[in-house]
Amino acid sequence: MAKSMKDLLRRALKRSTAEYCEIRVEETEEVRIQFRGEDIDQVSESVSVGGNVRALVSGGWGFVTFNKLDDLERKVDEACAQARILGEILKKEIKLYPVPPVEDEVRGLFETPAFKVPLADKVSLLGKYNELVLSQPEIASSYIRYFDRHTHLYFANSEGTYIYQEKMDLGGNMSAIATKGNLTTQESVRFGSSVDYNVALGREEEIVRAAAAARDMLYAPVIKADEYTVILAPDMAGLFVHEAFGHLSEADSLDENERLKELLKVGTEYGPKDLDIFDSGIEGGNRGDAKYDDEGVPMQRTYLIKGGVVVGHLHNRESAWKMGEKPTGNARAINYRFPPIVRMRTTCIAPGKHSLEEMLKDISLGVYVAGGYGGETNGEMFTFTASRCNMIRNGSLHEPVREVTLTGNVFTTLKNIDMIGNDFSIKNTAGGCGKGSQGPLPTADGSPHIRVRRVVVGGEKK
Amino acid sequence: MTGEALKYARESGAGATLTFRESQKIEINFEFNRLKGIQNTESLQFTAQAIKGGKLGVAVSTKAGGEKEVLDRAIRLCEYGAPANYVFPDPEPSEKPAVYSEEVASLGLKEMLRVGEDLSAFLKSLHPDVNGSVTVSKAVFRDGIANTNGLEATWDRTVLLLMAISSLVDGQNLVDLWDYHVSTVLNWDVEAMKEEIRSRFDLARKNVPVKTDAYPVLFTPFAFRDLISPILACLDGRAVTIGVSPFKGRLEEQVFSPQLTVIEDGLMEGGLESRMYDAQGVRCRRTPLIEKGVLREYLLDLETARKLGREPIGTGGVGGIEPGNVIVPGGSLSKESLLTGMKRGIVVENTMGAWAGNPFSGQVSGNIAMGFLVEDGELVGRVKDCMFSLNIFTHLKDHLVALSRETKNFGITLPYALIDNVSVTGKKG
Repeated sequence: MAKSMKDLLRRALKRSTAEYCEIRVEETEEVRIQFRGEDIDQVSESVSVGGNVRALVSGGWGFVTFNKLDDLERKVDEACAQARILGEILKKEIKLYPVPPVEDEVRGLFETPAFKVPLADKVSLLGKYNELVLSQPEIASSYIRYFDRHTHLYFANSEGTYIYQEKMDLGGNMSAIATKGNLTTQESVRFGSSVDYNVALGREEEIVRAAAAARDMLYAPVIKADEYTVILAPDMAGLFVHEAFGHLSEADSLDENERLKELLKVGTEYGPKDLDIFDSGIEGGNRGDAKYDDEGVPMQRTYLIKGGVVVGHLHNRESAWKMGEKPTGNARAINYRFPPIVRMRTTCIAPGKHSLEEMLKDISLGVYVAGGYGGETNGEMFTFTASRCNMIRNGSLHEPVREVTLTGNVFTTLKNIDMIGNDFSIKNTAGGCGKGSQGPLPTADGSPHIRVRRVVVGGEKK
Repeated sequence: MTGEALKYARESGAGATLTFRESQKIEINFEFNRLKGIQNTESLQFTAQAIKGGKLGVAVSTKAGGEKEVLDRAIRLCEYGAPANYVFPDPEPSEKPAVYSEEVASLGLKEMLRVGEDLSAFLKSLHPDVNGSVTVSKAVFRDGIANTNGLEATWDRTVLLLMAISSLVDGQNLVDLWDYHVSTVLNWDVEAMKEEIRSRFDLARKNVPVKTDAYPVLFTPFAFRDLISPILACLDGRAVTIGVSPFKGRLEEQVFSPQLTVIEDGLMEGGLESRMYDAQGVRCRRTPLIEKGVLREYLLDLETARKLGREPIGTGGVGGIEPGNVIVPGGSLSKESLLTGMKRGIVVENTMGAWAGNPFSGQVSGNIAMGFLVEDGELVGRVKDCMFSLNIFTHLKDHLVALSRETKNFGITLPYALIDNVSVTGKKG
């Protein structure tokens, strides 16, 4: 299959009249399983076959998608014609940062392929988790979601690159839902991987803890709105770095924006001396990891901040050429219906030297924040909502509080990080990033605990 | 092909529904004040639902001519699927919603480029350092449904989108202003969009401090959506049947202010989500969900309607509830009069992160991504680095001051909403 596809794509690319042309073809099979309450809610499978052609002429991009592979040459003609229409208007020199052509086939780099596990086993496992959730005290209901997908991805371009990549992606989210009167609270166990179905196994203890946390929240007051010193647990700190600095580092929003480029220029100081932030597609097994990105560029670990100072950005080939930096393997498209744009993969704050006890000890009033529902950024500001929080009083953790949403200015909040923990973990979930209407794109976040001063926390009026 | 596939399902002893969606979309993008690209997206998708042995199997395919294969897959999955104590309905007449425009379908690339260039040039004219982004797109959809009981229908829809975003980096201030138009007919008003952005451009660059306190807040339709979304989650029949919705067992109860009505209308003229039948083959219709604050109905599919002893209302999806067009009718006052009546308050145009959180708690908190302080009925400057927080169950019951008579349709149709006593938290000092 792979060999004939190579011939098919290369033959079609010979039609290209553009400065640059690429074809991407995807075949994906996906399984979804869902439980809600006592019953299984859905078992579904989907098969997706399609592709796209992208062509560049004088700064204008043509992009055409298709579901049938039988008329690829016409699609190449269409994409080139569109690019030419734009190119004649623009007459702009846009180049792609040169990378050596690659011929490669990447197969089966999986530990336990989800697509080889029988459906009956997956349904049985999730059914047992569902029963466990529902058996916990004061838990009224459950919401269990699982998916896995297996993709054959073919990529060829007019520079001679041909890459076949076999990919896997899986994720799960298991929520325990507690109710008391009209109040409903929930807490979840989440997992994800690009290589190993076994991450879905052995989640029983986490489920029991999540159910207990949901139950505790039933009796927790809504937090009083104020500015607090917060300690972010690794999952929340990971979400923070994705929202707060990762998006700003995506160079397709910088490369023609002189003011933003100036704000993010290499050498600018944004954090404490022990703050290192990186993005990586090669940490191993995280959602979004692969050998090549969607322009055929090898993935790598890219430092964005080192010692509190900006040292790099995330690039595709176009933004790298425009900014005179090297591509970083961050061109990503969620599927064949979209062109690749600059996206994060696993974004991390590197571990520091402080223990959690050290972080807690001099806080007279603060908040310990864990369990992320989700977050968002608009470039300068970020916000995220947590599901599992406790007040910190006089150096130790105290009562749980609920409905905790944090916000802040990206730049000042990074400067307000005053302690970085010596623990570190990478969190994979069933969610992802939603930039450019291409969501949820598989991503992961990693961090130790971090402490941040003066964070605005929304809630009830004092 | 569909007929053959359904015949195969019948012979396999399964009840089945097959839906398809075929679409063609052309999108032109301008970024950094210049033309960036054209995208021509063709899409085809079949979705099969099969019920066999009292269980539901679901399969999806994008393979052209893949109807029989996708049905076969759905039938095979029934062994593991969700209990389905219902059958797909017999054909019931429905009407084709008025959501197709030949003018949109035939809109030429040249005209789309002209409008995009015009808006892009306008954005650039606001300030030398503005980065303007414009998206112009048109899409033509053909949807169809058929089932083993003889239902067979297709309907067409067009969607026109125009979006303009002005981004300015002003020191460490990132000022994003935007407006958009989305409709099924060719009725965009480019000059009105320009005015909408121009009118706030200077004001958005003037930051004013906001003290932590409770304020009257005027939510624009776009921001009001963050308060309506959790209501829809609570109205979801599945959330009701599994007992997590606070609306369980409260039909005919006054749950919100008498000013608030929420309607589901799958047949709405010009509705972006209008359709003849829902994904389970139930005809679409107009149903009040909340009427003058009283809970009248849930969003239902065949399974939840049966469990709750209700009639389905055309909001069944594939393995879940899928509302059609949700409408919150406006009130009697203009948005200007709601603004001028505020002594000291805040206008929230755009929020960030307010969608996150537990929708069943009623608590909604979010960053005020774009908002303005109001003094004596006048906008005086932008509020930043602050959050709003309220509880929809108390604020939309006891603190809803008024809804504007103007509404905006962006898949959901909403007015401006003035709500009192909203907690707003700003930075100290």
